Amino acid sequence: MARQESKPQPPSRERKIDISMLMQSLLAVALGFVAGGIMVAAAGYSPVVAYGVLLKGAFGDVDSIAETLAQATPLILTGLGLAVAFTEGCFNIGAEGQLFIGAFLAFLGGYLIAMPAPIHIPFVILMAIIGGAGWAILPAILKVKRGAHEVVTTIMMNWIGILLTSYLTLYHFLEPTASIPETPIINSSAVLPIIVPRTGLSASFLVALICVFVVYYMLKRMPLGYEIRAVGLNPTAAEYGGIAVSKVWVIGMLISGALCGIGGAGVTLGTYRRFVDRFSPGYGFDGIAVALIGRNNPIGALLAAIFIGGLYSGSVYMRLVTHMPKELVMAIEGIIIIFAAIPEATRLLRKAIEHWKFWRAR
Amino acid sequence: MVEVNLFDAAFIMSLLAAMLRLSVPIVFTGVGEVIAERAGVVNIGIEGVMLLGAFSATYVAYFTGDAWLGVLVAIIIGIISGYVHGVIAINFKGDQIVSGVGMNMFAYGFTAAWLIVIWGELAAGNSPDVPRIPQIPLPLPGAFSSISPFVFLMVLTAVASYYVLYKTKFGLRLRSIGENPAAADVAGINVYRVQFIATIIGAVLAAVGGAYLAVDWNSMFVRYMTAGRGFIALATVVFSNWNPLLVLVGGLLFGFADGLQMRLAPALGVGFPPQFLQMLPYILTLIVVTGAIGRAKPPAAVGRPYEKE
Repeated sequence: MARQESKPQPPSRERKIDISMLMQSLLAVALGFVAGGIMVAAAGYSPVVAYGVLLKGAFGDVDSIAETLAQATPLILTGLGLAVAFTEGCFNIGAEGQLFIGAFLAFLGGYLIAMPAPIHIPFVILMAIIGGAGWAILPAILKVKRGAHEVVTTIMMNWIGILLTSYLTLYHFLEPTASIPETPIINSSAVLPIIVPRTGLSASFLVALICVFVVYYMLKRMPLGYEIRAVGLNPTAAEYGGIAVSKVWVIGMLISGALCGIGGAGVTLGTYRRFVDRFSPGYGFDGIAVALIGRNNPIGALLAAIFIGGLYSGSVYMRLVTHMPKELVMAIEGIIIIFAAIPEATRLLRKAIEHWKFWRAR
Repeated sequence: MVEVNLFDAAFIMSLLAAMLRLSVPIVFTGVGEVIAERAGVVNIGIEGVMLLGAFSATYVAYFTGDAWLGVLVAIIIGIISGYVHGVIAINFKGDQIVSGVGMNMFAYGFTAAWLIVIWGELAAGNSPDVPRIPQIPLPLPGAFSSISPFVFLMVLTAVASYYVLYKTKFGLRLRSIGENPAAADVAGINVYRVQFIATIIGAVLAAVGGAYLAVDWNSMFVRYMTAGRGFIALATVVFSNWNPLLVLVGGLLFGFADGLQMRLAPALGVGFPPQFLQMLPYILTLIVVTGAIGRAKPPAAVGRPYEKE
């Protein structure tokens, strides 16, 4: 990753690098769509029609935009959480588990306790923060104390978290009248209200926006953010510079888990108003794509989440209209990430264009 | 409640047979990853490569009726996936973890979509039945009356990989690259070429592990059928301290936990939450990577692209 260059320079230089990173992400997206188009054509569909329908389904009118933002909301939060983790060089793949535990604790706080809304909502979000961070603490400690790689431990925590919430839902909080495994509805004082009628867009989107600005401020302006970035750039140098690397690493991982937990709370409190067993279509894993396409920048993660949220809501519409399997969109997402892994992609493209110009001039 | 005697000979036999069967995909994938990581290249996309291998093997077995031909095509898919990861990791010096994540997501989406493209909406969950790899009959009773040839191939692969890594010149070169690529380069080793070969071997073994799941263990492709086995293989790599023989031990351990989990559920009855049994292999993995055996020491230069001076 081109992270190495982005830190020590003065602000003007840093902005220039931010723009080149934006170009890299846009290029990865464009290449992903081209390769995806070939795949769509191979499956026997017209890529032009497919992409047109996808775009219309994602951003065609007010309702579809609201639906896109609703889908983007948990992705913004998991993407933000993963951006913090990736910035400090921690590959947290455990967002999915942290999201589930956060969502379940938010349900517990909203269902078992009643209090006035202005304190109830912050209270349940706090519970989700504790849940998400709590689910990240074991992998964080195993890493700094025992050197256990976080990629493996966080993935195991995902399965354990999904199975644990599934058990609690089925054996202790099952709504008897429901046709799918889910809990009863939470108290109304804990509900995040819908802000665009007849869509899934709730006030949890506003919570996500607040988190974007808090994380941006933390990473770019606070000493902790500086330390997290320093640890990510070069832990050895950070250690020599007097930063308690292990401590910062654990704190960053906890912040990451907390944000994923808030993402789960948003779904419980806003979208379903209850905990639904295995509700996530992969918000935690798509959060990885969000953070990578957003280049670990909070604003970038916000934009990338809206992009992926658009793919989600557009793919549902695309399936209705063209009968194309919506999983093709996931494959396109994968190709985009593969291209995003190539740091020199923009340089290679520039070279290719120069070659093309040279041969065309002859 | 089903009566199950845990010390019954038939029960133990069936558990041991399940252990062997369930360890095959993990051992193949894990041994492959050890080879790649010993040469300094991490590929966490092996979960996706397994899935692509499983899907291509099913596809070929369905249309040709020959399961072995399916495995052969899975090997070719493995070569291609390893090549793609190699180009990104070695030629472009891209982020290996990111590339692996992308490969996993691509494989999950691609195979789930193509399942519908080929077999239609009704097949949303799994493919039709396809021919299986013929099993080898054994002169033993019960669960051991026949055995998959992949069980033997698994042992052979682990032992051969150990031999190549530790007893041959090529293995020494490969390991030296994972520890110190610059020194290996100075010693006249073609670092990039050896890394490429190791990455491709790793992906091929993962694809074979996936193909086994589809055309031997099962006789169909099921959507998302790898179910995290690629990641469990990554855990056995850490457990093994990057030694193929210990990957074999780790794989058998997980096969045992998985087989036990499947057999205990009916024994404990419906009153016992199956979720806790399903957690067993994952909790075991956590305990294992925590270093119950001792702190693991990865190759020094693993995961870092090598830049020629």
